[in-house]
Amino acid sequence: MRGGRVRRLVIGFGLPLAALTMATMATAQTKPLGSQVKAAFLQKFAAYVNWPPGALGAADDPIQLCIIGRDPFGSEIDDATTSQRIDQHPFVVRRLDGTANAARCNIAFLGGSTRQSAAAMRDALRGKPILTVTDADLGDDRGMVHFVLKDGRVRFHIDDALAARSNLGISARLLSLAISVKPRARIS
Amino acid sequence: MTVTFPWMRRSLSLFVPVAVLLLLLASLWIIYQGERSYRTEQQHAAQVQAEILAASATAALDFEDRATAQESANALRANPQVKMAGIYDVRGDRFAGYARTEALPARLPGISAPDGASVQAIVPVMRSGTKIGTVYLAGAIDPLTRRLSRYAMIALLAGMTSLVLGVLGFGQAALRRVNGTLAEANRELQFQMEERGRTEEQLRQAQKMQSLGQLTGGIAHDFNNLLAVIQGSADILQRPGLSEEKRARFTKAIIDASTQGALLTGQLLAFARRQPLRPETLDVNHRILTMLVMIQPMLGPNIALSTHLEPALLPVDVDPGQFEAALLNIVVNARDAMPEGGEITIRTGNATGDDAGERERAVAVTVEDNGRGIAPDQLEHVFEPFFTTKTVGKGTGLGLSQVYGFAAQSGGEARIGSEVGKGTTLTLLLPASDKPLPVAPEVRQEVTAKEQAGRILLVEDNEAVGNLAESLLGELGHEVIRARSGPEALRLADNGAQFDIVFSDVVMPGMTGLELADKLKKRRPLLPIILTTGYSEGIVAAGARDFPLVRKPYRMETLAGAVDEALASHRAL
Repeated sequence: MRGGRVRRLVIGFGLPLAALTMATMATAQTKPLGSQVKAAFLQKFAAYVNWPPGALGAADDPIQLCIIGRDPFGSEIDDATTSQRIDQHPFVVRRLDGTANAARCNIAFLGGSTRQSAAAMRDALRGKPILTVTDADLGDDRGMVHFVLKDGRVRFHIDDALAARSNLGISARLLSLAISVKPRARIS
Repeated sequence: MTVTFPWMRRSLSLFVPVAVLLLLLASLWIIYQGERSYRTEQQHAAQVQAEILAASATAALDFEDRATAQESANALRANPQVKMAGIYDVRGDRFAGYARTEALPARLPGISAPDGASVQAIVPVMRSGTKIGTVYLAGAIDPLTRRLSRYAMIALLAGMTSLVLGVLGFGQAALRRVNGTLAEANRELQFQMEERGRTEEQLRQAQKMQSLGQLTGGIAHDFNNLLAVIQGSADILQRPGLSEEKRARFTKAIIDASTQGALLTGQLLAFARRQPLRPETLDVNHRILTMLVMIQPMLGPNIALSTHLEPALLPVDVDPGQFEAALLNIVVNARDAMPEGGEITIRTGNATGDDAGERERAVAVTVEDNGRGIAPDQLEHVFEPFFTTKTVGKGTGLGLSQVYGFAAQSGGEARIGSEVGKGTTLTLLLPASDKPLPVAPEVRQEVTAKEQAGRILLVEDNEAVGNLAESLLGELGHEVIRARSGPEALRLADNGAQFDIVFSDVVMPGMTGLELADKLKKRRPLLPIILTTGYSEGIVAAGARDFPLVRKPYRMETLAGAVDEALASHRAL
């Protein structure tokens, strides 16, 4: 306990480097609220999603991770994406007020806003090759991936049917981790 | 016989152990390879399992879902070969996994040295080119006993084959031992056979020497008798004032003794098989009648000789000289069988059927005596050479052997029957000839010096014989030029000596009569050359070269005939 307090002290008054260290450690440790975990998850989803051809641009074009509306992550999302790559794609984090300029997003966290609910945002982006992610902490509107807290751990539901309508493929490995999956219509 | 070289035998004896060793080595190698490939396979299997686990647990590790990761790891529990499967995060801390016996290490273990009991695999967990963790997997290796049981069949096969090879090798070694013993026995046998052969050879040699002694003794005796007659008669003839009747008697005694001597040497030559038969078609009765003149004096006063001759006797083809010799031999034997006197009967007859033996028609000449007879055990030997019932010095043992040889060579046979105390009957069976008898032998013309006289080159190295020949030829009215050697004769010829024929001895030192004859023929191809010799080899050689031959010792008539013939042919040219 004492060691823990000393460490918190160091963290609290530490150098900017200390903040980075703390952020890295946070991804490994489960936090009750889990905003850091969610930030890391957001970035990690990219590895398990198949975008339709051309949606990611050139081989080294960045994957655009958009926070639309409310931003529960702050710098955590920047920390989570820094120096991360999916194949050769780096990440770029964009914060948008609404879906108006979201056409080139690849992953969109729909925080919702006073002007446009998460559901509205989702509907606005429907059919576009954008993985939409919602958070139960911010409302019950669900995107393709919907974060929940369960047993003190960040888990998620997946609406594969919605993803299918946007021509997105979600890896079975990811689906196997979901609490629930709304399956896509089987092509008969 | 099989040829075996020492190296071959050595390599054969080495073959079995070497083969067994190679077999065992091959088996060990197969087992070693099997073991290696088994380890490689197990290693590969562990690697594959680890890779599968890494792939299936990627998302769980990525999203820190321990339960799902544990499920993935637990899926491997069904495989008893996996002893330990652990999923470690990127920092090497245990994330999920299980261990069958011991506890799963909290930190990612390194690959320890292979211990024979397990194989290990470490596979990174990758997410889109980024390592997010590690899978560690330890696979079990079957215990040694179980692994070895897999090679039991190979071991069994190798063992069986080694056993078979061993048995073969043992058998071969045993066979080789037996072979060695056999070879030893064979060598011993061969040695004994050679020893026996040597002994037999020595025995034969001894017998030969004995026979030779008997023969030479017999010949010496016969010749001594003849020489005694000749010498005695010649001594008497040298005395002055001898009556004409005595002169004639002793001269005849000398001639008769010489005739017998010639017969004897003729037999010796025949025995040496050097004298070829010269068959003529002749009337046996006529021959016998002419021989009676010679036979009668031989028999002496105590022996009566009678003849029963078949008037219609068939002619035969035989050598007249040999026939006379054979008949004389038979008669002499009959005479010798009756030292106290007795009777000898000579019969002739035509034989047919069984009497003729194997021939269709034959002429039988039988001589009977009423002497001592011959014991049955000796009877079967009488035709063998050197066999004689006479004491040493009394006979050559050649007589009846000549009879037998003559009969056989003439295509006939000789038969003998005898009863001890009653007498002996000897029959000559001679095949009858299909040829007619030649016209009555021409009556020899009286030798007339005028007609037949010629100049003769006489070549003879022996002074006595040369003097005799010169006298005889002179008596016949010929002129004689003497030469004492081949070269001398050649010199005379080259110096222009005039002669019509050459009469030459064959066996001479320096140049033989044959060589001389060849050289003279080159100078004067048409020159008649008569050769004379007593040596059997000379006779054969001269006969082969077609020179007329006068055999020593020769009578005046023989010499006259040969010389007249040569002169006649020379003049006819």
